[in-house]
Amino acid sequence: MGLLEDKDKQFLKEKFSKELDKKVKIVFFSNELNCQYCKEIKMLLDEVKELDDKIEVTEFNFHNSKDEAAKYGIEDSPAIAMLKEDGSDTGIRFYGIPSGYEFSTFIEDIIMISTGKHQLSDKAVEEIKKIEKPVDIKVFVTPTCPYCPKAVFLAHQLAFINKNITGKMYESMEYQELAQKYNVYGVPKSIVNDSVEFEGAVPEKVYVKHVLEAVK
Amino acid sequence: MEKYDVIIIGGGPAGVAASIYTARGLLKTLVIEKTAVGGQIVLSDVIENYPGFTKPLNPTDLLNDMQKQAENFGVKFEFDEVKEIIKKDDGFLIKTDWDEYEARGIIIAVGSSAKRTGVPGEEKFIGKGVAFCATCDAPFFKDKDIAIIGAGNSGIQEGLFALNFVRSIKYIEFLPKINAEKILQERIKEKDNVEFFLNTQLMEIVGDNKIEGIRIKNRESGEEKFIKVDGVFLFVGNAPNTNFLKGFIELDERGYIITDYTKKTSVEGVYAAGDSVKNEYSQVVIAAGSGVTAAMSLISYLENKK
Ligand SMILES: Cc1cc2nc3c(=O)[nH]c(=O)nc-3n(C[C@H](O)[C@H](O)[C@H](O)COP(=O)(O)OP(=O)(O)OC[C@H]3O[C@@H](n4cnc5c(N)ncnc54)[C@H](O)[C@@H]3O)c2cc1C
Repeated sequence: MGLLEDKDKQFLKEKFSKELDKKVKIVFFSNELNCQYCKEIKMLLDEVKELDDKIEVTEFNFHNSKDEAAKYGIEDSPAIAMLKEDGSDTGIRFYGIPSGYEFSTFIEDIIMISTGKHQLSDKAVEEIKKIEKPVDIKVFVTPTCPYCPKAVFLAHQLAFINKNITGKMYESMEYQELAQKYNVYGVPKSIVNDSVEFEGAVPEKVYVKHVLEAVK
Repeated sequence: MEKYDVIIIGGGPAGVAASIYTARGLLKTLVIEKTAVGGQIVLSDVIENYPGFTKPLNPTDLLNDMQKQAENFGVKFEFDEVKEIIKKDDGFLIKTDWDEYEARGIIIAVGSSAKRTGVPGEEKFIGKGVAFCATCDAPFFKDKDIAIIGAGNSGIQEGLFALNFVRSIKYIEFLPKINAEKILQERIKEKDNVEFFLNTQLMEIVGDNKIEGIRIKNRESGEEKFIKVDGVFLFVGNAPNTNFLKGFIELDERGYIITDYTKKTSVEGVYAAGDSVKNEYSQVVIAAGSGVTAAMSLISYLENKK
């Protein structure tokens, strides 16, 4: 049995064939030692790949592919990096399975990367493009959290428009130790450059303000 | 500055339902929402009592569909927090965190948010073991013991979901009885890892760096007791999100908006709907209906004014 229902597959197939433009490359770093959901992630990616030939998936074993992992700055696995057609990095990451509510973020990311169209306001774009230092945004989520995609997709969009920014979703059950380290008991929780942290699905403008605060 | 015929504050069921009607009345409509479209109901994992659906619905799907329906009729959505409304000669100026808008008529549908108890320890542990959304945060308490404060509809509904993860639930209820839909009561009573402390008051959330437990008091015998739990979920009722409206429209002593049966507030051209209004049952179907009443009243008000 697959992870996606037939009617969702049909819906996505139609959506992708209407909206996708350029190819999207998905790089998956798996590991068979301590990965709760690697099998499911692989299944999910295979099912999504089947929906449109503009979607490509490559899998690496994290422990045997240090060079590839280093190339995208992947520190841990399971991890997914999303690339553009020409192989350039978007800074969009999923640490853990993009399922439940996060599946919609994953789909929006694919469409954004393929079409180049994001949903940020002009004002946000202007401010974010000015950032010249590296910015690391971690967003902790659970798959059952309805407000979380909003925070994750914002982080991903910021990464998409500025290559100094990496936007990482962390699925808190897969990354329990990390969630504990950052004292996460409520989601979404966003942490920018390990210095600024905030909870909740805040509006775009507030999100941007927090990110700017971290690079001041 | 963008000018609208109608601005609706709040993108929960009341606000979105209202917007469908004003847009179909060919009024240029904007909904301003401070977090995400959907309102409180998306905090629940299912909704089973919205008429017309034979299977339990995912509230986020229901509200996303409402939003799409509204957008199909031309409604625009902005994500920002409304801070102030100012009356002008021919309408209103609405100030948000970042922008200003003008509208000829307003519908306030700001709903309500979970109340806090104010007991010692609560503030310090919010986001660190004290939570308001089991659907979001129960996974952090896998195989742990939690307390749910408040055995009303939301408390029971969310407890049923939390049981997918947690080892046990202790319910602390101020009233001498459980005040939830009978069908929910039956479902929770079937579980053997759930215990009820009725007629009981939460006194303190205890712990240094993490929650060790709670101190409770039986309201009849006065007996106090410590119970070990790792997390505390609060469902002790709601308070309306109407602080920014003080001095602008008439509110009751608890902050709920006072309206007449047409949903008109004390200020001409301003209507209110849903959970933020005095004497409404907190249900999605009622919030939606209340939003539609406000919309139809506002439409006829704007037509008569012309
Ligand atoms: C856990 C839980 C379970 C529930 N289960 C059920 C159920 O099974 N069935 C049922 O019918 N009902 C249920 N309810 C009740 C239902 O959610 C509410 O009655 C309903 O959501 C009220 O709708 P509303 O539009 O009036 O307000 P809300 O849903 O509260 O929406 C108000 C919106 O306004 C926004 N807002 C507030 N202030 C501002 C501002 N200043 N500027 C901009 N935006 C603002 C808020 O962010 C929010 O999105 C449940 C509620 C909870 C919490």
